This record gives sequence, structure tokens and C-alpha cells, in this order.
Amino acid sequence: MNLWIIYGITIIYIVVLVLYFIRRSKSHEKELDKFLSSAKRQVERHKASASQQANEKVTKAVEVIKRVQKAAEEFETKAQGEYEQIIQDAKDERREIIASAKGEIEKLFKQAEEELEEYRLTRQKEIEKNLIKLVIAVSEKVVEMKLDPISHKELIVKALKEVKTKKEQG
Amino acid sequence: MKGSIQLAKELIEKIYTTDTLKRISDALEKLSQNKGFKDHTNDIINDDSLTDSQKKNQLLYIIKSVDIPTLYEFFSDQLADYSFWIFSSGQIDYFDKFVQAFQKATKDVGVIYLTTAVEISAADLKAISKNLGKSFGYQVAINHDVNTGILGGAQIRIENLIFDYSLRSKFRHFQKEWLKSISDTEKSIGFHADL
Repeated sequence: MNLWIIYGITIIYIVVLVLYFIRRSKSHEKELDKFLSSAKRQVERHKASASQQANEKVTKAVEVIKRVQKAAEEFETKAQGEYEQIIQDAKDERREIIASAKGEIEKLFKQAEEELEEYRLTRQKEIEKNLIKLVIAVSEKVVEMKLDPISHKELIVKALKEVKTKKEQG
Repeated sequence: MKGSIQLAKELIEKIYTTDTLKRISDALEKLSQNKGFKDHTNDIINDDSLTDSQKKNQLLYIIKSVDIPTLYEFFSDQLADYSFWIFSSGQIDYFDKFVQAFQKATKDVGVIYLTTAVEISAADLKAISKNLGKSFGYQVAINHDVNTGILGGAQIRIENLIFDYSLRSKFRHFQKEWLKSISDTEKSIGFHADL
């Protein structure tokens, strides 16, 4: 009898325990669901927040990229303009230099021609003078060779007569 | 008897070049200062053992040793009539007086510097001297120089006056005129480049 009682109590106890655990398990399951639900919401919120932040960042990044692209385009445009201006200036400068050089060269040529002409005239004058000197020198030599003692004497007498005349006059 | 001044004048008249004038002047100066010469000549003229002709010959022999033909010729003429007084140095030194008179007379001689291209003979120089002296009215001594560079004619300097009648001078003048005419032509019509 006792044994049956013991068995009965034990069974009751087990049943109670099972019920307890079942109930406990359900409670835990609820808490877990609640937790999971909360977590899910939080995850959703985070996800939404992250998505929004990401979107904002992407937007900002896109804006930055756009600005950078715009700046790059402006820079490129500006650089291109400056480059073209530099090229144009260089071309202009080259034209001016060439024109100036041409003018300078023409001037130099003209100057050289003038100097050459002057040199030629000077040389011609010198040649002419030298020619006269040469003619005189040759004449002197010829006269020197041709003069005989009688001619010398005549010239001396003539000179003395002229001196006498001048002395008498003066 | 001629005086010392007259003798000096006659000697001067025989001189027609400055070279001879200087040589005679120097020689007479030396002789006048040479006591041996004076004593010797004085002894000769006072030597009664000698004839006038011998005296003359001995005196001329001494003069000849000086080696100046003009001087010898002069004394030869002076001693022709055996007039020896000039060599007397007794109480009065006549030779000294003669030399002094000569040196004084040289101051009145006009010097004419004559440059020619050829040599002139002594006879011609003498003729020139006489001729110019006659023309200028004073004794003339020629200082002759030969310069072949003048080609011909003569360059004559009288005191400060220079007369250049040389051929070289005429050629130089001709050359100068020629160059001047070319220069004038250039100035008036420009340089004739096609010369």
C-alpha cells in the first residue's frame, strides 16, 4: 500500500514537475519570442537607420563626386583654356620674334651692305691715292735716271736765279 | 804796304765755302798761338844770309804744311813781291793782327746753305759764291751739302729763309695738288666709283 502511495506521490510529483517545466518552457518561449521580436525590431530599426545613413553617405558621396567631377571639369576647362591661351601666346610671340628677327636680319643686311659700300669706297680712294703716289714715285725715278749733269746744273742755276730774284724783291 | 785789315779782306774774298772758311780760321788761330811758328818765320825773314826768294820759299814751305790750298795760294800771292812784314813778330806781332782782322771779317761773311742732288765742282761753287755775293752785296760762303733724295734742283737757306726749288718738292707739290683736285671733285659731284 505504501508502495502505491509512494508510487502515486511520485507520479503526481512528476506530473507536477512536467507541468511546471511545460509552463516554464512556454514562459521562456514567450520571453524568447518577445526578445526575438524586440531584437528583430531593433535589427529592423538599425537596418533602416543604417540604410538611411548609408543612403545619406552615398548621397553625400555622390554629391562630393559630382562636385569633384564638376571641379575637375572646370579645372580641365580652365586648364584647356589656359593651355590654348598659352599656345596662342606662344604662337603670337613666335610670330613677333620671327618678324622681329626678320626685321633685325634685314637691318643687319642693310647695315652690312652699307659698311661694305663704305669700305669699297674707302678702298677705292686709298687705291686711287696709292696710284697717284705710285705715279709720282715712278715719275721721280724716271726723272732721276734721265737727269744728266748738265740738266742738274741748269736746275741748280735756275733755283739760284729764283732765289736771287726773290731776295731782291723781298 | 797793305794793312792787316786789307789783307784779311783779300783772304776772305778768296774763300767761297764755309768748310774752307772754318779750316782757314782754325788754322790761322792755331798758327797765331804757335810760338814756334812765329819765332821760326821771324827768324827766316830776319836772316840776312837768305835771299828774298829763299825766304819766300821757306815761308811758303811752312804754309804748305798746313795743307789748305786757298791759304797757300793767298800767301803765295802776298809774298810774290817779297813783302814779309806779315810774319814779323818783333816789336809788333803783325801775324796776330792779321789773324784778328781775319776773324773779325769772318763775321761779315754771309752763309748760304745749298743742298743739291749732285756734287758741285769747286769752280762752280766759287762762281755761285761770287755771283750771289755780287747780287746780295756782301761776301758769301756756301755751305754745300749733297742729298740725292731731292732728285734735282736745289734747296737754299739764307738766314731764316728757306727756298725749296728741288724736284722732290715740285713732285710733292704736284702730288698734293692732284690729291686735292680729286678730293674737291668728290666733294662737288660725289665719289667717281668707276675709276
